[in-house]
Amino acid sequence: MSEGAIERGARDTIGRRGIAIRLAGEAAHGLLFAGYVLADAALLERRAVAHMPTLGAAARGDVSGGAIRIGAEPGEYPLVDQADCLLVTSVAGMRRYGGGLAPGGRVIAEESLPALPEFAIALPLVRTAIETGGTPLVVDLVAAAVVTEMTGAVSRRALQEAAARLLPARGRPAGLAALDAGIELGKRRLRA
Amino acid sequence: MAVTLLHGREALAWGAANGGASFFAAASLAAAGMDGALAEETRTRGGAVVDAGSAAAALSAALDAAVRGAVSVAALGGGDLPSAAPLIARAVRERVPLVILVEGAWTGSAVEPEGAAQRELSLLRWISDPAPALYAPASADEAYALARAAALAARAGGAPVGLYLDAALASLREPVETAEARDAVPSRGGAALPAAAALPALAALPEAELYRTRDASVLAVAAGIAARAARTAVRVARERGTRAGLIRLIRLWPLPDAELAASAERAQRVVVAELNEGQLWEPLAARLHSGERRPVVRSLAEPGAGALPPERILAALLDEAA
Repeated sequence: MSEGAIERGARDTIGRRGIAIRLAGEAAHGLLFAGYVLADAALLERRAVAHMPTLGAAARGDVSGGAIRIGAEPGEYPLVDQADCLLVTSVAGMRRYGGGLAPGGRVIAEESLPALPEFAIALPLVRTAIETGGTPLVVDLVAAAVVTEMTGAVSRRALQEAAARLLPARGRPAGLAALDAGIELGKRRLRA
Repeated sequence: MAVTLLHGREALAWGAANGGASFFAAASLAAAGMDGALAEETRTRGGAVVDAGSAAAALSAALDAAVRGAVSVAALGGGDLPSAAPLIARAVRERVPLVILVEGAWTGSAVEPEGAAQRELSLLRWISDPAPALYAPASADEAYALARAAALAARAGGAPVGLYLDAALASLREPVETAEARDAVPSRGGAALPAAAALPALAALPEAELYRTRDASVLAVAAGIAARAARTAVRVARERGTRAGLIRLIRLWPLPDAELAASAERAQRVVVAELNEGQLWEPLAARLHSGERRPVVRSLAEPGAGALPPERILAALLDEAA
């Protein structure tokens, strides 16, 4: 596999229980926070959840995000080595994690990224954030909502509750507007 | 009772706090998951949290506090063990009630610790004779429970207890059922400590977890994150018709003899799933070969291999069972 290529995993891998989500983008996109919102939403629903935020050097580097496994068998392997859903908003994110897809895994990508594979679902994540929240900084909430809508990993209600709980008061209106827009974007895509 | 998401390293620290620890020292508080809330909580109880700057200084401060009667916790990184070894040995020799938290060093990717090793296991075992009792939780929830019990043991004035968490689990956030003393973590405001009698003692906690071992002909033995990969592998092996089972070691040292002996009576083959160079295999093989039946014991240790995914353990289980 060449570096940077987005490929689905081999069929002989073990199907992990639950759903594995990976988020990767520029640090400014705040996908680290999106992981916290999704993990908290899963916790609110009392689902089994394991969340590995991007840490250390990576958090200061060119990729930010995290990996979340929701609904796994307790006691089983919690790490995300192959994502069922990979959401990327940057070329560096795609390069780093593009090779880590589960068989049948889905890629949701910011539409402006170059050289996306045919099976990637290109969506206007950043544009939606700007149009609804007035800033690309809320793309994290658009992303969390799109992932929720397209995977069903957590419920909309839990996602909204988690976001409301985690967002600081000052950023709550823009953040929740971005969340609603992300849900609509995901719904439209599913209908299409 | 509340459920909250904690990193494994935070779960260790808060578990110890809930068990009554009143003194914490680490080379770096942030790296040890000891945040401002923990410091505030500890101070309201009249304790202290010390950013010692080095592992040896942290251990030295914790030892000193323990000798003076505090329920004391030292947090070390795996790479710190060589410099901390003499002080750990002293704590064991003098039976100083001390809780030693050790976080495995990261290997492989600097980005995410999926390739975490468990190389420190050998060092922790051989660091002194006798070695401190050493536990390896496999989840944040278990880390919390064990650390709480270890602090309780220290309250009762026992010998030092080590808790080892590999890097992957230390960084992973998982749900933790926090105990009666707090509604959530962090609570802030100095919640009352639970009475010692209300907490489970360390000796009352299981030393090993047996998963589908009753009729197993091939066994995986593992600890920490490797045990969770092994559990997935055992489930799939069973789905494919192989009578596989898992002994998850919760207490690494001394080894849980009863569970090992009972399982070795039945299994013909044992696969040691470990993320290191065979540090677990060696004492396990010696123990399993001490009885009349001598199962074949194979290690999956592979220097520099990084992660140990379920697929590799499954392949070994199926291969051994063939």
